[in-house]
Amino acid sequence: MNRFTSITVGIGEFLYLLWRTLKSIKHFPSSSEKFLFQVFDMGNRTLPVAALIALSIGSVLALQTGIQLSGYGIEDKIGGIVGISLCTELAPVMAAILMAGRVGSSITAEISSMKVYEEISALETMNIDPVRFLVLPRFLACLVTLPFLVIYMDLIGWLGGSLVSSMNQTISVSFSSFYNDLSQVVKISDISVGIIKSVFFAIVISISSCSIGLLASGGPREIGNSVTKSVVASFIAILVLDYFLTRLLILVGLL
Amino acid sequence: MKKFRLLKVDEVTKGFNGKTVLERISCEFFNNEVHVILGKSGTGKSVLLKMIIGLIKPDLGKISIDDQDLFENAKENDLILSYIFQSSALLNSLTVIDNVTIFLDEHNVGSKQERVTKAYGILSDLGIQDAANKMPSELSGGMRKRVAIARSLIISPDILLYDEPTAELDPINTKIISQIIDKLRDTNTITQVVVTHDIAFAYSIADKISILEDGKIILTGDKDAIKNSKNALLEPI
Repeated sequence: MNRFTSITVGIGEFLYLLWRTLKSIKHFPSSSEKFLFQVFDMGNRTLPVAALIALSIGSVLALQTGIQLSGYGIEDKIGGIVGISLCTELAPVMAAILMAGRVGSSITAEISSMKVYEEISALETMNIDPVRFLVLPRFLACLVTLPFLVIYMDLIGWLGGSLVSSMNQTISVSFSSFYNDLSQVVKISDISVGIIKSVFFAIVISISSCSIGLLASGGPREIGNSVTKSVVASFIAILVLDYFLTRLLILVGLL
Repeated sequence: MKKFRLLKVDEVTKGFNGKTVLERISCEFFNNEVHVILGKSGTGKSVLLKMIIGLIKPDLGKISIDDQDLFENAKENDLILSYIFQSSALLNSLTVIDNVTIFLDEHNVGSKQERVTKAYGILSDLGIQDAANKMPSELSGGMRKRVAIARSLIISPDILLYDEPTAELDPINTKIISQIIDKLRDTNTITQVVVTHDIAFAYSIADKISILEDGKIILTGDKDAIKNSKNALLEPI
């Protein structure tokens, strides 16, 4: 199978699994316990690292931009710039990358291992739909967790930006000035842009991770290959989707 | 439990990547018998079982219960088939008790307490009740196999399919498995189909034996007939 064919087949498998997952949503009540476990697990895996990334990005963004702005005497505009950059672009993309790396990879590893060691075949022989049992809770958990992760990263990133802006001698913008400008520039629609993006990213990460896991075949080596494939596919999909989503959101006037 | 007379594999052919694994296989499994399919590794024994349980579709031929297609008439048949994988295929993220109750849990059969009580009863019958709260990774191969049997028995199957149940087991565990199969024959109306390459094990449990060689059934008969057959093809197995 050449690369073009395998990408086409991969997209087909992705869409088919998405369709089956959406169809199985009616069984959500029976999966609610597994869903809650997944939400807890995803939060547990991502929150500490997300805080570190957001704090770092917010700080560096404030430092680099603030010094440039102070050269023109407009350093008081730093709050708006950091605020809007984080909530419309940096937080959703970084949260999605983190989710794909930390959570997507573990989803693929778990499901591909279950496939290789015939656990999924065992479920099928018991008339238990693997999509309902494995994919649905992970899909919904990702869909709920990622938007919250984006808001969490927004807040911590802003905090990082404000700390650097107030403590750096060259920038020297107080907390109140930073948040005053941020509140004037950043609108609810800007925050919702990040959340809308994160919903699409969550769909891509959860379904592609599960789909690649379910397609694993062969021996244990395939588990490692599947994880690599899943992370690479998610990263590429996030970056490509980000561009088109941004264009779409500009088109509908949200940006 | 529904009674049936005959599970029939009729002229079934299956191949993978252009290579025929099973060629026009026919065999019959009668109610409440232990039927062993004996053959060397790679002769298509597991493929045959996986076709009976419906994990693999045959390229040609039909699998039927009392002349009704097993899968087209699955609802009318109302028969419960269960499969014990060679690897046991326990869900490694669940405890033993959760593995055993998984079918009942996912299909909402009875209350949680009833499911657990039933599972403990079966685990106790198989002598592994102490392992109920362990994870599969903490179990020996023989115990994993018995948990897999418990997981199958909890759904009260009409037909139980075993894929190499003694593979990688020591003689003591092999004996335990053969005792379980004997006990099930004596106390339940379960048809048991066992594929194995272990001749001694086959003789110890079988009512009937079919010998599979190069994708074809070359000999079928009751245990004594097979034992007494002077067929040279039996020797290399």
